[in-house]
Amino acid sequence: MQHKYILGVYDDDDTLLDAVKRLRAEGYRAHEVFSPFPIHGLDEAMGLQDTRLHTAGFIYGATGTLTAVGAMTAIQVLDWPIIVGGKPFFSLPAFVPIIFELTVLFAAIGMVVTFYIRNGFSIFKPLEVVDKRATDDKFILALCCKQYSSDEDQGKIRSLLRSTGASEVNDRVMQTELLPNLFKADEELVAHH
Amino acid sequence: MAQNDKLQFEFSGKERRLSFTLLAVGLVLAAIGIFTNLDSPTHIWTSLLYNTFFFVGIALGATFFISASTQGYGGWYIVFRRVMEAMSMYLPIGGVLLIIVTYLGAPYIYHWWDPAVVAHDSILSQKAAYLNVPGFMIRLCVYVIGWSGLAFLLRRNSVQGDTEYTRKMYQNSKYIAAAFLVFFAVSESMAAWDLFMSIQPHWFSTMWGWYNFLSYFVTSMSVTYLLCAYLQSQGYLPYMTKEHFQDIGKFMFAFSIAWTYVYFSQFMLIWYSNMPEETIYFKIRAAHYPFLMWFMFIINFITPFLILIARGAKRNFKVACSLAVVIIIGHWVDFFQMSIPGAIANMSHGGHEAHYPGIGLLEIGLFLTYAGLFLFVFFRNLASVSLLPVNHPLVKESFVHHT
Repeated sequence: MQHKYILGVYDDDDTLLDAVKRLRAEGYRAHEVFSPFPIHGLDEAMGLQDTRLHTAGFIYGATGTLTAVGAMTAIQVLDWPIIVGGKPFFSLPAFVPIIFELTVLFAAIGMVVTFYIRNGFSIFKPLEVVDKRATDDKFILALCCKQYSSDEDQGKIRSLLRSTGASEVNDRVMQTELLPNLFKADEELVAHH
Repeated sequence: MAQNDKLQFEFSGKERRLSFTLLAVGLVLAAIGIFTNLDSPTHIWTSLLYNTFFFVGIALGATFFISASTQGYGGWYIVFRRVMEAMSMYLPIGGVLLIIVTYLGAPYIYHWWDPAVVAHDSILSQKAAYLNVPGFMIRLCVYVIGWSGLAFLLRRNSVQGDTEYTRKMYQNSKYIAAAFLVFFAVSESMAAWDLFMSIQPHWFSTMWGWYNFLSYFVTSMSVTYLLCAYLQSQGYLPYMTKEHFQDIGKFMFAFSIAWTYVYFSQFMLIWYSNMPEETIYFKIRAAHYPFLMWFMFIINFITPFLILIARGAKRNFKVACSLAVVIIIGHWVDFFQMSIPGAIANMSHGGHEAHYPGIGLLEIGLFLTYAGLFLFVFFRNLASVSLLPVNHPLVKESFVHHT
């Protein structure tokens, strides 16, 4: 299966940010943006939904907390109680460092794994890079041709990209599909197409 | 600039009424509190001491924030830098009050103040090289002069830039900030030992300085949030966006956790090793203030942690301002419990029959009095200069700040 994308290549992050806003005002949505570093305000300009990764992180953290309390209780109280310094078997203050560590560990690993799965990264899968220069000094704006299939739309997108300061406008055919982003519901854009 | 009309804060009748009402109500309540507690001068003076220091701490936190941000090339805070500068200008007044209160109250607060007690106490005699009356007063004066002097220089540097900003000024602001940070790193710890740890001079904790500092720094950030939100509700600081507020909220959140980290670490190490000379600190508090210990833990940690963790909460004025008030009260209670129980126990020699006072009219009255004074000094200093350091090189960076 082949997937076609139109790529706008920009030299500057501010130009790219303005281009994303301009495209959106014209009723076109940047499918994805590739940049060597995070651009502040880009998610808002693209109309992306707030990430739910932190909610997942909270749930993983809470799981870690409960695991630690449960495990320490099982070990120190139920399975093999040992008297340490005359303290009760269930001594919460002594468990707190372990609770803290497991909370952080679960939250961190859980979030990384979720991030990888959600973005389709895997060590078993060869990665198809949209444009290698996006890891160096270029900013790539990708629009999906499946979404804008008519020639009229594609022509308008190309001219828009050029007029907003793209140094190149390329077509790219990829074997793998770029994962769909979660956009905010936007009445205007839906009505336009 | 487009927002030129609201660049000057006007100290209007509304703010005057607010600060004078707080001052008057506070003085009346404090007077009632003093007359009902005349039998316990220790209680009165210790309350005065911790309330005086609490507000000095808020000003110190603001000065520290400005210095640390200046030194770290921070640009986002420039839009509310003048607010923090005005807060830091409470330092000279609060500092002088602190010296007076400490000098007058010391015989009732610190039992090592009496040479006869020191002579019969081998631990105190060994500590006398550091912990003696002239040394204590000289150190206190040095802290106050250093803090207020450097805060004054930082502010003067910033205000001079309003007419014309030169490269040299930026350099100088870095030097002053660096000097303050170095001086503060040593002096905040020593001030914490002198003023609060020496209330129980046999006891010591190596985490005390951090614990003290984090307690008033998080209060300072909460006060900044409240004041900025108030100023914005009055139509000032129009260029301050939710992004800036969210970042102040992050400081409130992060330093609530930092405070808990240090407070709990101090508790856990003492609880675990279980040595009598260390556990005495928590024994007094657990025996006489069990409610306060848990209450403080809940409102200083659990509440900010669970609520401020959400992005929306830090951007919502209603939620974040309520949380700021909760944090301020929580850390005020923290200062109460780090000073009053120890002073009562030590000054009544063992303290088995002593009466341990709760938080009453005296404490609330003194808090309101100082709050009124603090706000008055703050608003006056805020009104004396422009609300925005217009020529600061990082002002544009602050305008476009985005989290």
